[in-house]
Amino acid sequence: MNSVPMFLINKILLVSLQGEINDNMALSFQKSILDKIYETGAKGVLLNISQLDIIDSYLGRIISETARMIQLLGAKAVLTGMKPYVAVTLEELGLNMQGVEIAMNADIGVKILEDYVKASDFEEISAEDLE
Amino acid sequence: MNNSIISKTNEILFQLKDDITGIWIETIQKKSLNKVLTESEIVSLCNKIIHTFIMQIEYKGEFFSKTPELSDANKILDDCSKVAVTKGLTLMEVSTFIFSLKNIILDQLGKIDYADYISLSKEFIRISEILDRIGMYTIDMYVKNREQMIARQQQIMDDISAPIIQVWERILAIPLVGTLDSKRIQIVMEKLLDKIASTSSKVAIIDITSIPSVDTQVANQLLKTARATKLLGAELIITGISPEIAQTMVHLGVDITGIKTRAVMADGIKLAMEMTGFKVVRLVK
Repeated sequence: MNSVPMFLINKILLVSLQGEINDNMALSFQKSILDKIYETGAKGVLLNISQLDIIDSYLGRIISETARMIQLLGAKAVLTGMKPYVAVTLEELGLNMQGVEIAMNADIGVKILEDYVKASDFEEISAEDLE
Repeated sequence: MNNSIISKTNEILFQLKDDITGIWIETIQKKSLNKVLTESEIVSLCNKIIHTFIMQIEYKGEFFSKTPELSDANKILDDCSKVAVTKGLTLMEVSTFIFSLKNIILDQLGKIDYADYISLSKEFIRISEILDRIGMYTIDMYVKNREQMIARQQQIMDDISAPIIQVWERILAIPLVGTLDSKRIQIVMEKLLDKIASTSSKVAIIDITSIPSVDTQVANQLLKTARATKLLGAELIITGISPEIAQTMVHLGVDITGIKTRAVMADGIKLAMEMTGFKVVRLVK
Protein backbone atom coordinates (compact mmCIF):
# COMPACT_ATOMS: atom_id res chain seq x y z
CA MET A 1 0.00 0.00 0.00
CA ASN A 2 1.33 3.36 -0.94
CA SER A 3 1.07 5.68 1.99
CA VAL A 4 3.61 8.17 0.69
CA PRO A 5 2.12 10.93 -1.46
CA MET A 6 3.81 11.29 -4.84
CA PHE A 7 3.12 13.73 -7.67
CA LEU A 8 4.52 13.61 -11.13
CA ILE A 9 5.04 16.96 -12.82
CA ASN A 10 6.99 17.27 -16.06
CA LYS A 11 8.95 14.08 -15.51
CA ILE A 12 9.84 15.08 -11.96
CA LEU A 13 8.47 13.01 -9.13
CA LEU A 14 7.69 15.03 -6.02
CA VAL A 15 7.75 12.85 -2.93
CA SER A 16 6.95 14.03 0.55
CA LEU A 17 8.00 11.86 3.47
CA GLN A 18 5.97 12.79 6.49
CA GLY A 19 5.04 11.80 10.02
CA GLU A 20 6.40 8.64 11.50
CA ILE A 21 7.86 6.14 9.14
CA ASN A 22 8.50 2.67 10.50
CA ASP A 23 10.79 0.09 8.93
CA ASN A 24 8.11 -1.56 6.80
CA MET A 25 6.82 1.74 5.50
CA ALA A 26 10.35 2.74 4.60
CA LEU A 27 10.86 -0.35 2.46
CA SER A 28 7.47 0.10 0.95
CA PHE A 29 8.06 3.71 -0.09
CA GLN A 30 11.39 2.70 -1.57
CA LYS A 31 9.63 0.18 -3.80
CA SER A 32 6.82 2.61 -4.67
CA ILE A 33 9.22 5.31 -5.82
CA LEU A 34 11.24 2.92 -7.96
CA ASP A 35 8.13 1.40 -9.50
CA LYS A 36 6.74 4.84 -10.27
CA ILE A 37 9.94 5.92 -11.99
CA TYR A 38 9.95 2.73 -14.02
CA GLU A 39 6.28 3.08 -15.00
CA THR A 40 6.27 6.75 -15.88
CA GLY A 41 9.80 7.31 -17.14
CA ALA A 42 10.30 10.04 -14.56
CA LYS A 43 13.79 11.49 -14.73
CA GLY A 44 14.02 13.32 -11.43
CA VAL A 45 12.89 12.74 -7.87
CA LEU A 46 12.54 15.51 -5.32
CA LEU A 47 12.52 13.96 -1.85
CA ASN A 48 11.06 16.36 0.65
CA ILE A 49 11.89 15.47 4.24
CA SER A 50 10.81 18.71 5.93
CA GLN A 51 7.74 17.04 7.43
CA LEU A 52 9.60 14.17 9.02
CA ASP A 53 9.64 14.08 12.81
CA ILE A 54 12.82 12.04 13.12
CA ILE A 55 15.32 10.32 10.91
CA ASP A 56 16.92 7.36 12.60
CA SER A 57 19.85 5.40 11.24
CA TYR A 58 17.59 2.90 9.47
CA LEU A 59 15.58 5.55 7.69
CA GLY A 60 18.73 7.46 6.87
CA ARG A 61 20.21 4.38 5.27
CA ILE A 62 17.04 3.62 3.33
CA ILE A 63 16.95 7.17 1.94
CA SER A 64 20.59 6.95 0.90
CA GLU A 65 20.02 3.53 -0.70
CA THR A 66 16.92 4.72 -2.49
CA ALA A 67 18.88 7.57 -4.02
CA ARG A 68 21.43 5.12 -5.38
CA MET A 69 18.70 2.88 -6.76
CA ILE A 70 17.12 5.90 -8.41
CA GLN A 71 20.45 6.63 -10.03
CA LEU A 72 20.66 3.08 -11.34
CA LEU A 73 17.37 3.64 -13.10
CA GLY A 74 18.95 6.59 -14.86
CA ALA A 75 17.11 9.24 -12.86
CA LYS A 76 18.37 11.83 -10.37
CA ALA A 77 17.46 12.24 -6.72
CA VAL A 78 17.57 15.52 -4.82
CA LEU A 79 16.86 15.80 -1.13
CA THR A 80 15.27 18.93 0.23
CA GLY A 81 13.87 20.18 3.55
CA MET A 82 16.81 19.05 5.64
CA LYS A 83 16.54 20.65 9.09
CA PRO A 84 19.68 21.65 11.01
CA TYR A 85 19.15 19.24 13.90
CA VAL A 86 18.50 16.40 11.44
CA ALA A 87 21.78 17.24 9.70
CA VAL A 88 23.56 17.01 13.03
CA THR A 89 21.92 13.67 13.86
CA LEU A 90 22.83 12.20 10.50
CA GLU A 91 26.42 13.40 10.91
CA GLU A 92 26.56 11.77 14.36
CA LEU A 93 25.17 8.54 12.94
CA GLY A 94 27.90 8.62 10.34
CA LEU A 95 25.51 8.72 7.42
CA ASN A 96 26.85 10.89 4.66
CA MET A 97 23.97 10.49 2.20
CA GLN A 98 26.23 9.65 -0.71
CA GLY A 99 24.49 9.62 -4.05
CA VAL A 100 21.96 12.21 -2.97
CA GLU A 101 22.32 15.78 -3.91
CA ILE A 102 20.98 18.00 -1.17
CA ALA A 103 19.24 21.29 -1.95
CA MET A 104 18.73 24.12 0.50
CA ASN A 105 15.11 24.51 -0.48
CA ALA A 106 12.53 23.08 -2.88
CA ASP A 107 13.01 25.84 -5.51
CA ILE A 108 16.67 25.06 -5.89
CA GLY A 109 15.92 21.36 -5.83
CA VAL A 110 13.41 21.66 -8.64
CA LYS A 111 15.80 23.81 -10.69
CA ILE A 112 18.52 21.18 -10.41
CA LEU A 113 16.11 18.48 -11.51
CA GLU A 114 14.66 20.54 -14.35
CA ASP A 115 18.13 21.05 -15.75
CA TYR A 116 18.76 17.32 -15.53
CA VAL A 117 15.45 16.48 -17.17
CA LYS A 118 16.12 18.95 -19.97
CA ALA A 119 19.53 17.46 -20.59
CA SER A 120 18.05 14.02 -20.99
CA ASP A 121 15.17 15.10 -23.13
CA PHE A 122 15.14 16.03 -26.76
CA GLU A 123 15.72 19.55 -27.87
CA GLU A 124 13.14 20.90 -30.26
CA ILE A 125 14.08 22.59 -33.47
CA SER A 126 11.69 23.81 -36.07
CA ALA A 127 12.19 22.39 -39.52
CA GLU A 128 12.89 25.83 -40.97
CA ASP A 129 15.79 26.53 -38.63
CA LEU A 130 17.54 23.47 -40.00
CA GLU A 131 17.82 24.83 -43.50
CA MET B 1 18.98 -75.99 -17.10
CA ASN B 2 17.50 -78.48 -19.49
CA ASN B 3 18.09 -77.27 -23.03
CA SER B 4 15.26 -79.20 -24.52
CA ILE B 5 12.80 -77.41 -22.28
CA ILE B 6 14.26 -74.07 -23.30
CA SER B 7 14.08 -75.02 -26.97
CA LYS B 8 10.49 -76.11 -26.55
CA THR B 9 9.55 -72.79 -25.00
CA ASN B 10 11.45 -70.81 -27.61
CA GLU B 11 9.88 -72.69 -30.52
CA ILE B 12 6.33 -72.29 -29.23
CA LEU B 13 6.84 -68.62 -28.50
CA PHE B 14 8.24 -68.16 -31.99
CA GLN B 15 5.19 -69.79 -33.50
CA LEU B 16 2.90 -67.64 -31.37
CA LYS B 17 4.73 -64.40 -31.99
CA ASP B 18 2.21 -62.92 -34.39
CA ASP B 19 -0.66 -63.68 -32.03
CA ILE B 20 1.27 -62.21 -29.14
CA THR B 21 2.04 -59.10 -31.17
CA GLY B 22 -1.62 -58.72 -32.07
CA ILE B 23 -2.80 -58.98 -28.46
CA TRP B 24 -0.10 -56.56 -27.37
CA ILE B 25 -1.09 -53.97 -29.96
CA GLU B 26 -4.70 -54.19 -28.82
CA THR B 27 -3.71 -53.88 -25.17
CA ILE B 28 -1.65 -50.80 -25.91
CA GLN B 29 -4.48 -49.15 -27.77
CA LYS B 30 -6.78 -49.89 -24.86
CA LYS B 31 -4.33 -48.18 -22.55
CA SER B 32 -4.84 -44.94 -24.46
CA LEU B 33 -1.37 -44.90 -25.90
CA ASN B 34 -3.10 -44.52 -29.25
CA LYS B 35 -3.57 -40.89 -28.28
CA VAL B 36 0.16 -40.19 -28.50
CA LEU B 37 1.18 -42.68 -31.16
CA THR B 38 -0.37 -43.49 -34.52
CA GLU B 39 -1.44 -47.03 -35.25
CA SER B 40 1.40 -47.66 -37.64
CA GLU B 41 3.88 -46.34 -35.07
CA ILE B 42 2.51 -48.70 -32.45
CA VAL B 43 2.63 -51.66 -34.85
CA SER B 44 6.18 -50.83 -35.89
CA LEU B 45 7.43 -50.48 -32.31
CA CYS B 46 5.73 -53.67 -31.19
CA ASN B 47 7.14 -55.66 -34.08
CA LYS B 48 10.63 -54.40 -33.36
CA ILE B 49 10.45 -55.22 -29.67
CA ILE B 50 9.02 -58.68 -30.26
CA HIS B 51 11.82 -59.25 -32.75
CA THR B 52 14.31 -58.27 -30.06
CA PHE B 53 12.59 -60.54 -27.60
CA ILE B 54 12.85 -63.52 -29.93
CA MET B 55 16.52 -62.73 -30.49
CA GLN B 56 17.13 -62.66 -26.77
CA ILE B 57 15.28 -65.84 -25.80
CA GLU B 58 17.39 -67.72 -28.34
CA TYR B 59 20.61 -66.19 -27.09
CA LYS B 60 22.63 -68.72 -25.20
CA GLY B 61 25.39 -66.68 -23.64
CA GLU B 62 25.73 -64.35 -20.67
CA PHE B 63 23.27 -61.52 -20.89
CA PHE B 64 25.52 -58.64 -20.00
CA SER B 65 28.34 -59.33 -22.41
CA LYS B 66 28.88 -57.10 -25.40
CA THR B 67 28.43 -59.66 -28.11
CA PRO B 68 27.37 -58.61 -31.62
CA GLU B 69 24.03 -60.43 -31.38
CA LEU B 70 23.08 -58.56 -28.25
CA SER B 71 24.35 -55.30 -29.71
CA ASP B 72 21.94 -55.62 -32.59
CA ALA B 73 19.08 -56.33 -30.23
CA ASN B 74 20.07 -53.39 -28.05
CA LYS B 75 20.38 -51.10 -31.05
CA ILE B 76 16.76 -51.83 -31.96
CA LEU B 77 15.67 -50.91 -28.43
CA ASP B 78 17.76 -47.74 -28.57
CA ASP B 79 15.99 -46.75 -31.80
CA CYS B 80 12.62 -47.42 -30.20
CA SER B 81 13.54 -45.21 -27.26
CA LYS B 82 14.51 -42.42 -29.68
CA VAL B 83 11.05 -42.63 -31.25
CA ALA B 84 9.56 -42.29 -27.78
CA VAL B 85 11.65 -39.20 -27.08
CA THR B 86 10.77 -37.56 -30.38
CA LYS B 87 7.08 -38.23 -29.91
CA GLY B 88 7.25 -36.70 -26.45
CA LEU B 89 6.16 -39.79 -24.56
CA THR B 90 6.44 -39.59 -20.78
CA LEU B 91 8.46 -42.11 -18.81
CA MET B 92 5.21 -43.59 -17.50
CA GLU B 93 3.93 -44.10 -21.02
CA VAL B 94 7.13 -45.81 -22.11
CA SER B 95 7.02 -48.15 -19.08
CA THR B 96 3.38 -48.95 -19.65
CA PHE B 97 4.07 -49.72 -23.28
CA ILE B 98 6.90 -52.15 -22.65
CA PHE B 99 5.84 -53.82 -19.47
CA SER B 100 2.35 -54.55 -20.73
CA LEU B 101 4.01 -57.18 -22.89
CA LYS B 102 5.07 -59.17 -19.87
CA ASN B 103 1.72 -60.52 -18.77
CA ILE B 104 0.76 -61.39 -22.31
CA ILE B 105 3.81 -63.55 -22.83
CA LEU B 106 3.79 -65.13 -19.38
CA ASP B 107 0.18 -65.98 -19.97
CA GLN B 108 1.18 -68.01 -23.02
CA LEU B 109 3.68 -69.97 -20.96
CA GLY B 110 0.85 -71.26 -18.84
CA LYS B 111 -0.61 -72.96 -21.90
CA ILE B 112 2.55 -74.89 -22.76
CA ASP B 113 2.63 -78.52 -21.78
CA TYR B 114 5.67 -78.85 -19.53
CA ALA B 115 6.65 -82.11 -17.85
CA ASP B 116 6.42 -80.63 -14.36
CA TYR B 117 5.84 -77.47 -12.40
CA ILE B 118 9.56 -77.00 -11.83
CA SER B 119 10.17 -76.67 -15.55
CA LEU B 120 7.29 -74.20 -15.86
CA SER B 121 8.66 -72.21 -12.96
CA LYS B 122 12.18 -72.11 -14.38
CA GLU B 123 10.96 -71.01 -17.79
CA PHE B 124 8.73 -68.44 -16.16
CA ILE B 125 11.72 -66.95 -14.43
CA ARG B 126 13.91 -67.05 -17.54
CA ILE B 127 11.38 -65.35 -19.76
CA SER B 128 10.50 -62.87 -17.04
CA GLU B 129 14.13 -61.85 -16.64
CA ILE B 130 14.49 -61.32 -20.37
CA LEU B 131 11.42 -59.10 -20.51
CA ASP B 132 12.56 -57.11 -17.50
CA ARG B 133 15.94 -56.58 -19.10
CA ILE B 134 14.36 -55.38 -22.33
CA GLY B 135 12.16 -52.98 -20.38
CA MET B 136 14.91 -51.58 -18.21
CA TYR B 137 17.32 -51.18 -21.08
CA THR B 138 14.78 -49.32 -23.18
CA ILE B 139 13.91 -47.02 -20.32
CA ASP B 140 17.57 -46.36 -19.62
CA MET B 141 18.11 -45.46 -23.29
CA TYR B 142 14.99 -43.30 -23.21
CA VAL B 143 16.37 -41.27 -20.32
CA LYS B 144 19.79 -40.89 -21.95
CA ASN B 145 18.29 -39.84 -25.29
CA ARG B 146 15.98 -37.40 -23.62
CA GLU B 147 18.81 -35.75 -21.71
CA GLN B 148 20.76 -35.43 -24.94
CA MET B 149 17.81 -33.81 -26.65
CA ILE B 150 17.39 -31.33 -23.82
CA ALA B 151 21.10 -30.46 -23.96
CA ARG B 152 20.84 -29.83 -27.70
CA GLN B 153 17.83 -27.58 -27.24
CA GLN B 154 19.65 -25.69 -24.51
CA GLN B 155 22.57 -25.15 -26.85
CA ILE B 156 20.30 -23.75 -29.52
CA MET B 157 18.69 -21.41 -27.02
CA ASP B 158 22.05 -20.25 -25.77
CA ASP B 159 23.14 -19.43 -29.28
CA ILE B 160 20.18 -17.23 -30.06
CA SER B 161 19.76 -15.54 -26.72
CA ALA B 162 22.54 -12.99 -26.87
CA PRO B 163 22.70 -11.50 -30.36
CA ILE B 164 25.02 -8.53 -30.85
CA ILE B 165 23.38 -5.94 -33.04
CA GLN B 166 24.95 -2.92 -34.63
CA VAL B 167 22.27 -0.28 -34.09
CA TRP B 168 24.21 2.70 -35.42
CA GLU B 169 27.69 3.42 -36.61
CA ARG B 170 29.92 2.55 -33.68
CA ILE B 171 27.05 1.64 -31.39
CA LEU B 172 26.37 -2.00 -30.50
CA ALA B 173 23.38 -3.35 -28.61
CA ILE B 174 23.10 -6.70 -26.86
CA PRO B 175 19.64 -7.60 -25.57
CA LEU B 176 20.13 -10.43 -23.09
CA VAL B 177 17.32 -12.89 -22.64
CA GLY B 178 16.61 -15.59 -20.11
CA THR B 179 18.44 -16.63 -17.00
CA LEU B 180 21.93 -15.28 -16.68
CA ASP B 181 24.65 -17.22 -15.02
CA SER B 182 28.24 -16.07 -14.77
CA LYS B 183 29.28 -18.63 -17.36
CA ARG B 184 26.92 -17.17 -19.94
CA ILE B 185 27.99 -13.63 -19.21
CA GLN B 186 31.58 -14.67 -19.62
CA ILE B 187 30.76 -15.93 -23.10
CA VAL B 188 28.78 -12.79 -23.92
CA MET B 189 31.61 -10.61 -22.64
CA GLU B 190 34.15 -12.30 -24.87
CA LYS B 191 31.92 -12.08 -27.93
CA LEU B 192 31.16 -8.45 -27.17
CA LEU B 193 34.77 -7.37 -26.73
CA ASP B 194 35.67 -9.08 -30.01
CA LYS B 195 32.82 -7.33 -31.78
CA ILE B 196 33.72 -3.94 -30.32
CA ALA B 197 37.26 -4.33 -31.60
CA SER B 198 36.28 -5.60 -35.03
CA THR B 199 33.68 -2.88 -35.62
CA SER B 200 35.65 -0.12 -33.86
CA SER B 201 32.56 0.66 -31.87
CA LYS B 202 32.62 3.37 -29.26
CA VAL B 203 29.59 2.37 -27.22
CA ALA B 204 27.98 -0.94 -26.32
CA ILE B 205 24.56 -1.18 -24.71
CA ILE B 206 23.74 -4.31 -22.74
CA ASP B 207 20.02 -4.54 -22.12
CA ILE B 208 18.80 -6.69 -19.27
CA THR B 209 15.06 -5.97 -19.49
CA SER B 210 14.37 -9.66 -20.09
CA ILE B 211 16.52 -10.85 -17.24
CA PRO B 212 14.32 -11.42 -14.19
CA SER B 213 17.03 -11.18 -11.53
CA VAL B 214 20.75 -10.89 -10.97
CA ASP B 215 23.01 -12.21 -8.24
CA THR B 216 26.39 -10.99 -6.99
CA GLN B 217 28.36 -13.03 -9.50
CA VAL B 218 26.35 -11.76 -12.44
CA ALA B 219 26.53 -8.17 -11.22
CA ASN B 220 30.28 -8.39 -10.76
CA GLN B 221 30.68 -9.97 -14.16
CA LEU B 222 28.75 -7.07 -15.71
CA LEU B 223 31.08 -4.65 -13.97
CA LYS B 224 34.08 -6.57 -15.22
CA THR B 225 32.67 -6.28 -18.71
CA ALA B 226 32.24 -2.53 -18.26
CA ARG B 227 35.83 -2.11 -17.12
CA ALA B 228 37.19 -4.29 -19.90
CA THR B 229 35.20 -2.24 -22.40
CA LYS B 230 36.80 0.95 -21.05
CA LEU B 231 40.22 -0.61 -21.53
CA LEU B 232 39.36 -1.06 -25.20
CA GLY B 233 38.64 2.65 -25.40
CA ALA B 234 34.89 2.13 -25.58
CA GLU B 235 32.10 2.45 -23.06
CA LEU B 236 29.39 0.21 -21.74
CA ILE B 237 25.87 1.33 -20.92
CA ILE B 238 23.60 -1.05 -19.02
CA THR B 239 19.91 -0.57 -19.70
CA GLY B 240 16.70 -2.33 -18.78
CA ILE B 241 17.29 -2.07 -15.06
CA SER B 242 14.08 -2.88 -13.26
CA PRO B 243 13.19 -1.64 -9.75
CA GLU B 244 13.88 -5.15 -8.42
CA ILE B 245 17.31 -5.35 -9.99
CA ALA B 246 18.12 -1.82 -8.82
CA GLN B 247 17.26 -2.86 -5.28
CA THR B 248 19.25 -6.08 -5.51
CA MET B 249 22.32 -4.35 -6.85
CA VAL B 250 22.38 -1.69 -4.13
CA HIS B 251 21.74 -4.27 -1.41
CA LEU B 252 24.54 -6.43 -2.73
CA GLY B 253 26.83 -3.45 -2.40
CA VAL B 254 27.78 -3.62 -6.05
CA ASP B 255 29.88 -0.59 -6.89
CA ILE B 256 28.31 0.85 -9.98
CA THR B 257 29.93 4.26 -9.79
CA GLY B 258 31.34 5.15 -13.15
CA ILE B 259 29.05 2.77 -15.03
CA LYS B 260 26.25 4.37 -16.95
CA THR B 261 22.86 2.80 -16.40
CA ARG B 262 19.39 3.57 -17.67
CA ALA B 263 15.96 2.07 -17.10
CA VAL B 264 15.03 1.83 -20.77
CA MET B 265 17.03 1.10 -23.85
CA ALA B 266 15.75 4.21 -25.61
CA ASP B 267 17.54 6.38 -23.08
CA GLY B 268 20.66 4.29 -23.54
CA ILE B 269 20.55 4.82 -27.29
CA LYS B 270 20.09 8.56 -26.89
CA LEU B 271 23.09 8.70 -24.58
CA ALA B 272 25.11 6.51 -26.93
CA MET B 273 24.39 8.81 -29.85
CA GLU B 274 25.50 11.83 -27.88
CA MET B 275 28.65 10.00 -26.93
CA THR B 276 29.42 9.31 -30.58
CA GLY B 277 29.01 12.89 -31.69
CA PHE B 278 25.38 12.95 -32.70
CA LYS B 279 22.66 15.22 -31.47
CA VAL B 280 19.08 13.98 -31.53
CA VAL B 281 16.45 16.68 -31.81
CA ARG B 282 12.73 16.72 -32.13
CA LEU B 283 11.49 18.56 -35.18
CA VAL B 284 8.51 20.79 -34.65
CA LYS B 285 6.59 22.66 -37.27
